[in-house]
Amino acid sequence: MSIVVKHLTHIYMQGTPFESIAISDVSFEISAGEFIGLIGHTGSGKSTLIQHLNGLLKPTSGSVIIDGMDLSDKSTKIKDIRHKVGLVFQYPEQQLFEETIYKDIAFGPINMGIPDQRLDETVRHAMELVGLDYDELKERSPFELSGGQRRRVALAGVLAMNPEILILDEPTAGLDPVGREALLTMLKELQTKNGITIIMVSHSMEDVSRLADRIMVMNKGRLAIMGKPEEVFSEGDMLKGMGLGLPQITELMQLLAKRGKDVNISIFSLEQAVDEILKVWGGKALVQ
Amino acid sequence: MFNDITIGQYFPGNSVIHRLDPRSKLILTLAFIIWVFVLNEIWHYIFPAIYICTVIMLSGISVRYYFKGIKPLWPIIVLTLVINIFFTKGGPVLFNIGPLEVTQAGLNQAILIALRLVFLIVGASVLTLTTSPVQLTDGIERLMGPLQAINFPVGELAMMMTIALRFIPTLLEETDRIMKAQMARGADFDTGNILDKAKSMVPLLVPLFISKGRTKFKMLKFSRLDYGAAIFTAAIIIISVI
Repeated sequence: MSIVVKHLTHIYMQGTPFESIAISDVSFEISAGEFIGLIGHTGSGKSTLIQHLNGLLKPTSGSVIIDGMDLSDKSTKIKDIRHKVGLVFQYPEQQLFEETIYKDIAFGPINMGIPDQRLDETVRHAMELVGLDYDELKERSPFELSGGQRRRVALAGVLAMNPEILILDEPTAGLDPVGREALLTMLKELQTKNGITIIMVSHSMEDVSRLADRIMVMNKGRLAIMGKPEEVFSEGDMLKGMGLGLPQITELMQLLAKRGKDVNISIFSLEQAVDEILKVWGGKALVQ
Repeated sequence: MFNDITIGQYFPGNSVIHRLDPRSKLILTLAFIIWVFVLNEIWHYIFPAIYICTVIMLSGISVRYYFKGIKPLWPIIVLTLVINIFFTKGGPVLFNIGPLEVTQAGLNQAILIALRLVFLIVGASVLTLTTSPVQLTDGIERLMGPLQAINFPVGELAMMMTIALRFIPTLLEETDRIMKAQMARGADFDTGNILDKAKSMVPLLVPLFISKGRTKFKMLKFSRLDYGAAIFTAAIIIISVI
């Protein structure tokens, strides 16, 4: 499923004194199976943008085309689009509402009209995808779980609809390092193994650079830059001007390059950096 | 999603109407409403119409906003209209719909009531659109001041109103968020008949009001003590009655 956005503009409460332009003239294309990192400062229009991708918000002008279907077209069934484009909101654990985990995860599939006999299997599969134990947890209340586990339940609720595009609004916000790492690994697996297109909104340059095929940077409602991580991070000064930074390790490599060392500056992980530095300095790895 | 809800919404501005003291606005609104309900001839309503149109123009707020305020109340207006047309008797019969007769008096009464309702809503909207919630509660508090003489809790009442008004947007925001989360998972609030719509509201209201862990800090629970107290009280009452 491909996503094409053309000249998208959204103005909140147009024609009132509360009017504010959330996004203006944003155009981009995402092809099936890509992992996109969407970054930008608070209030740059990221959340507004992603709510357009499954028709929760209607564009003030411009168009959103999912898999060849224009969402503003009257003949497009928005409900079907929402089944294919799974959206996980920020703090998804706040959006759980059923009494048991089973019921909560089954909410989407039931709305899709999945027959009862396949419901158990669908819920079990979704829970397995996010690493939750079906038999142990299905009858428990989602409110008894820890924050990280609740988030998995919310994610399972979306995955149970078997979406082809998965959009996540800051999925790692407020998680501890272990939970965060597990979640990110899981997302990458969903992309590589299940072929799901993923758009992840994030504040963390480290996460985005490590996982994303391409990065979109939003600034003041506009799409400032979109490209491969190395392309985006070569614009360090521009990113800083928007209140964003580089991954720390990339910044280190760029500083080294500035001082005249002949290092590769497109480096986003600690391991790569160690290798590169050793190569340039001609030393041997201390840690294998 | 809830952008169309204008009841109780303040529309910032600096018009003549905005600058009026909230107390005068409250009293004038009350006077206007009484006026509208006292009039008995349909053509007399020209006067409040001229009056309210002038006020709307002076307020500098687009007429669209006032109509938006009426929109959610259309069903009520139509319902009263229909009831009055069919169930007020008197005067010559104009025409019949099945067993129901429509009389001259019924038609008159229905139009009168509908006019009153529309004027009532528009009049009240002028007040809320041009007066900030804080000013409004301030005004009410001051106007009700004399009631303190008979120990009426004016301050507390004003405080309650301020808090209630303060939480309307918060509650709307929360509702909006939960609705969106459910819509993203295929819930449908827009289509279907009225029964379907009512049904789809249930999972929305659950997390908003009663879910544990969200709005309830402490759950109430009956313990053995409560049952004991109940049985004891019941026993005493029965014994004393016998």
